[in-house]
Amino acid sequence: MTPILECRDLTKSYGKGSRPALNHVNLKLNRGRIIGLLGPNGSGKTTLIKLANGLLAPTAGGIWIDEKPVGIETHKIVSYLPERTYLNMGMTVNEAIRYFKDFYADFQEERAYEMLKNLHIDPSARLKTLSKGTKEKVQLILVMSRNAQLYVLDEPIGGVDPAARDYILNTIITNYNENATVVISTHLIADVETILDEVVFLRYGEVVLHASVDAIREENGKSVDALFREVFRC
Amino acid sequence: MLGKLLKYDFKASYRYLLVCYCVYIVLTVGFVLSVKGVDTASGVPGMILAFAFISLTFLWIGSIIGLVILTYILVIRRFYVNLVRDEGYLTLTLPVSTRMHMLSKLLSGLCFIVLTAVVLMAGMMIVAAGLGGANVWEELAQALRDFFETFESFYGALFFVNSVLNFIRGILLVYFSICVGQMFAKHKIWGAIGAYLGLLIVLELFVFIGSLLFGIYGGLNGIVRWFYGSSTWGNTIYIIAQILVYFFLGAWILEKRANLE
Repeated sequence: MTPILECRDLTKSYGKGSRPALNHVNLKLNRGRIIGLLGPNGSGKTTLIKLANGLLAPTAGGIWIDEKPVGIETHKIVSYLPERTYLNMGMTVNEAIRYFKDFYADFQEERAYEMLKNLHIDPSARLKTLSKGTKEKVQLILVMSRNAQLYVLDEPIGGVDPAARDYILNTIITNYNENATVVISTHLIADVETILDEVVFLRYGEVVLHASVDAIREENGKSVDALFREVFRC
Repeated sequence: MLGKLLKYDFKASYRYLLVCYCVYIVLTVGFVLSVKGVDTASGVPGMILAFAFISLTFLWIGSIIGLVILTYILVIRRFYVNLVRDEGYLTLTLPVSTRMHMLSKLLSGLCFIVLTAVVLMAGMMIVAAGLGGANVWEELAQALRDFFETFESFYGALFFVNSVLNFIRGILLVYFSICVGQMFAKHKIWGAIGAYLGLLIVLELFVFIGSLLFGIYGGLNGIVRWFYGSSTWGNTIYIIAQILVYFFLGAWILEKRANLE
């Protein structure tokens, strides 16, 4: 089976003389996995995510999604949740749903309304009237209501209360098809560890570990959270 | 996809403009009524009407200037907010090319500016109808006939075409400058303003050096006139070349060089 995401010698520098944000990264992510993209601040996680979504262009090397270079065709199969609010705040939740339905052929409206109902979010509410946490929930609902092949979630639980995290993580694992891959970038490792199949540790723009969670537990006798604290100890 | 992009571009801005158009029309009617009232009343009511007349005159003139400025701000703001600020994280990851985004913003911007011009003209006609003499419509019709007669000549038509193209170039120059500003690591807005002013200076220098090279600085003649005169084919080519550069290079920067904060 071909990988859903492949980086070949991927390098990204933001300016001459500065340390590359990503340095000759070679990485293959397979289908049907939930993968944690983990690393301290400045390790290159967001840069990698932006490159996968075409929001940045590589300095050298390349990134392929479903064997295609990043572009319009890959935007059709990648569902992306950035770490910030990216919806037009003048829209209502209903209008945001229509927007996704208009542009993404794989968007499932019924699924979105069902999740809104479960989280007690009023679809007629204007986005600017919602709390920060509720806006993030709406965005996650929109992203997870697509029938995408790759979900890229940048800090999906960072801004929500602990009580909502379980629902959100449950939403993630129950709303993607078995052939799809979910990449989650987060600092809250202990919260997501239970749902991860694999982890990728990034440090200074380089992959220092890419392993399955089971292998980490068997070989190191540690949880991913404990291993992360050991590897990235200050 | 262009139709869908246009739909959301219109939806994002029309409410603000609609409110402003209504305020402008109300102020126009108020201005006309105050002019008529101030001519007929005397005493204390006359003084009140005189005060209303002065206030409404200022407000009406202010609303014209404000409407023009607001329309341009909305057109530029829509491009900036929707493509290179936080909303860009969604807009630029839609399955749509950056060229299509540029085209959508250009067409919606042009529509809003033309619509504002039409509303302003409607206001002027209300003033003309309210304050003009009995033959105001006849005079207006004659003025329009004279205006369109200029296009019957080749140079008149070319002048019109070049004016429209210049208008498009002006909007694209702003969009392009915003894209260039995105290439700066910090101070992106200052980068955009610098790019805009820098380009204006470079283009003026281009005209100046061209004039010097052909030894006819101070008078638009020969080849320089062909290039820079407002009703020549050379000028048409010059403006179209700029439009193409701003459009395609701007789209390329958005796709390959922009780094959203």
